[in-house]
Amino acid sequence: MTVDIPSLILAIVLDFSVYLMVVVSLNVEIGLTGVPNFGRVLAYAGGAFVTGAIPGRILQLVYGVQGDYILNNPSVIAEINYKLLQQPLMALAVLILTLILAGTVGAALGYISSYPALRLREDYLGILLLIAGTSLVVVGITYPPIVGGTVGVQVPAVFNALLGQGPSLYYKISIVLLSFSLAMLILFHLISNSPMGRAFRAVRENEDLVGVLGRDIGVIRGKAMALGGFLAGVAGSLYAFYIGSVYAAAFDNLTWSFNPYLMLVLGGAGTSLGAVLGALVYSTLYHVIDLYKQTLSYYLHFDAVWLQYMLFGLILTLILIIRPQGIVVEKAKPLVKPRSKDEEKSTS
Amino acid sequence: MGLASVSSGKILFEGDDITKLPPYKRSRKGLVYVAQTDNVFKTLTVEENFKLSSYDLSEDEYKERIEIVFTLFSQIKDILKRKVYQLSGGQRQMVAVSLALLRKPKILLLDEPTAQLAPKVANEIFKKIIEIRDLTEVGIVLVEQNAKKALEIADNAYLFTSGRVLFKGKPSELLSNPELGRIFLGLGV
Amino acid sequence: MIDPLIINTIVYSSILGLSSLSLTLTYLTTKVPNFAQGVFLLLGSYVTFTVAEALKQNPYLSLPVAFLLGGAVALIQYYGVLLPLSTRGGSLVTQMVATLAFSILLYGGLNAYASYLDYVYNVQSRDVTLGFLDYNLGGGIRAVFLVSAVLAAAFILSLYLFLNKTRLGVSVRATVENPSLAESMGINTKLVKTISWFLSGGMASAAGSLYPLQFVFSPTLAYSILLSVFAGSVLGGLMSLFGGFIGGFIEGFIEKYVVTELSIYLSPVIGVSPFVINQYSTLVPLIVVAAVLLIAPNGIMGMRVKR
Repeated sequence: MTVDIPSLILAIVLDFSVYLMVVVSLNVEIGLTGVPNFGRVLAYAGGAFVTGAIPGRILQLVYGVQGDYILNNPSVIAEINYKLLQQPLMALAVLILTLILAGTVGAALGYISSYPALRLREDYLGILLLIAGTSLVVVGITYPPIVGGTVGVQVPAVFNALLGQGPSLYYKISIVLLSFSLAMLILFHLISNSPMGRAFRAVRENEDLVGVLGRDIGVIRGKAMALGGFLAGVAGSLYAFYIGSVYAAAFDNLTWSFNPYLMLVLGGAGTSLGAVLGALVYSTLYHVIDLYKQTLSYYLHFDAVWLQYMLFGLILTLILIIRPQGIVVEKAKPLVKPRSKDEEKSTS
Repeated sequence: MGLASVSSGKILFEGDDITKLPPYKRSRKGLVYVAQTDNVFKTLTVEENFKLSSYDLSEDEYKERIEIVFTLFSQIKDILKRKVYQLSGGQRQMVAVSLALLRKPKILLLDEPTAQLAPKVANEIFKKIIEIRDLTEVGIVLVEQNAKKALEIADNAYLFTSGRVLFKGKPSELLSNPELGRIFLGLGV
Repeated sequence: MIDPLIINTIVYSSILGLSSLSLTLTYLTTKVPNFAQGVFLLLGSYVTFTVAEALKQNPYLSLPVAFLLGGAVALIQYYGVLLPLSTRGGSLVTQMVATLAFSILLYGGLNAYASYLDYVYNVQSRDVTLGFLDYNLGGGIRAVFLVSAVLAAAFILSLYLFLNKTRLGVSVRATVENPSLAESMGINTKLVKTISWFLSGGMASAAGSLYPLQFVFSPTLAYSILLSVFAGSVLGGLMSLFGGFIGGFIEGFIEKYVVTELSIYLSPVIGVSPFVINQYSTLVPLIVVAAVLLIAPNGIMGMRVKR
């Protein structure tokens, strides 16, 4: 049996970049600031829902397409796409504007979630964030006018317009997604080494001390969760454009809150490399098993996708016992910039 | 007691190496610890606390030990049915020490029993410690910040610093050693 | 003739009550909220599918099997995962993540088993209900209605007797209040924790074994019902075991009965069909938890405790 390596790599890269963005967004909250956000799906779905609800409607207005956006969604989108394919600049504008909006909505959702963060102990906080995570998704499923309820909506084919139709479309999309995730990694690195990043880490290490030193922990946490939410919102939007549709029920806790959290823990929270490793291990594991699905399922007598769950769960359990900090251990960074020799001489 | 971890060395009790023994086994062997705070079950009554402490004793053993407790602390008889969180600080310490005594200890570890108590009450506690020693022949290891008073009632004295024994001997020697007394115990300052 | 809504509510609330109780049990003794609690329910359900559909036996035989199996798996979770982690100094959040990781492992395993049941025994366990295998007691009532209520009552009574009248039970209460003091009093707190994990897994699985007999079952139940279980525990106040059951029961009551009745009243007012309003019952856990944390952070039982 010949293995189609390019397709395998493409599949891994696509999943990897999507998950990496989510994991980086979590890294800001969990890794830097120590907020146990088990409800990441909230901001992520927020970004995706914005993408399902807004750009299509705006383009419908711009192009004067008839019909109800939700009820006649397939035909409305089809008409939009037809016009959009001839206007790549319009597609670019829509993409950028939607991303900004999605990021803002994600940031707002993240910021709102930070409100209880000040008063709650970690176990209660984790539980609350967990429960709050799917609240938006429930509304999305039950209230059709947003993203089509149980039917879902299609999203304007922005990538097709920008990158061209054709067999290599998904290769190009993968490059786009990779670039965005790389950008987020760089952003994470910059944040991590900035004064704000140091404040984040101070809150993670010893929040009482931070309070004693006169800084408002609530404000710091709020910023961290807004940032994480922003990244997640953008990621959710990119995901919606890549998939081409938004189906509310697909944004479940397991896929978008729990697994990314575990990926981060596996790779090592707090470092960029850790985020990369975690997302990479997961995506590779999934697609390699998927590749040999038929054979595996035959011998196992059960659907091989569950093997991936079991292996991932097992790896995580073992890592937590043997090496709880994850594969990549964060080096202790000084919280204060060390003074250079000249400064010391002049003050003493 | 086993509640904190050992970094080096061994602990021997009656010739047995108990370094790796979990706390509850040490308690059952006769090494009983009375913590400085949080040493009683506040939401239970005094009697329930006693029953809990002595649940591995037989009926007769319990009767025998509770008599000792009543002899030492006569007012405990009156507060048996009261919930511990309703008691005063001094009363709680009485209950805490009684809990330990009920376990038929061979060695009683008392961790700063007079901390947070008024001086008059503290003196009562010291008197009680002597009574306990005389009545039950139990060995008492007393850790105290009120060093002078503790040294007055002790048979032997040990001075630890950073996990090492700096002095071991008679309390009178420690009290009359101006250097050690001044540096470590704040005497004569 | 009893209103089907009442039957649904009683069965669901009994199941949820026992589940929240089991969550509170391990939380009080080991301080860790168990993210795998929902998967234990799943385990119980799959035992019922095995016993009732694959082996074609009396579905209620799955109760003791589910209890023992759930208890055993919980012991594996405690001894194999959490205990090693805590001895190595794992923080609270790390332990919570460990329960999450274990839940994924267990979830994958159970789904694999379900898939196996399908391959070999042709048993469907997605979006199905086993109500048709239940016993009819006349008047529209099936056995599961009685069994769930009786099971809940039996567990509560046994727990009460255990905690108040037995040495081991009093040790559990002591360990919950003050573990190091309990150790000093000669109580083997590790044994206490082990027993509480066994009971927790057992109760949750036993409760879960009844679920498919009344409701439509799907594997995603493991993570969807988790929210309700947590909400129930928080509502009862994560401070007392009975609070756990009461909180879970009330949470179930709100999700089923209150929401349905509310939907009938609200429907003409806001012009939305009752069916749609009922779909929002998934938001109840969030509303409940938010309300509790704002109004009475120690939950229902916590409001009368003075220390």
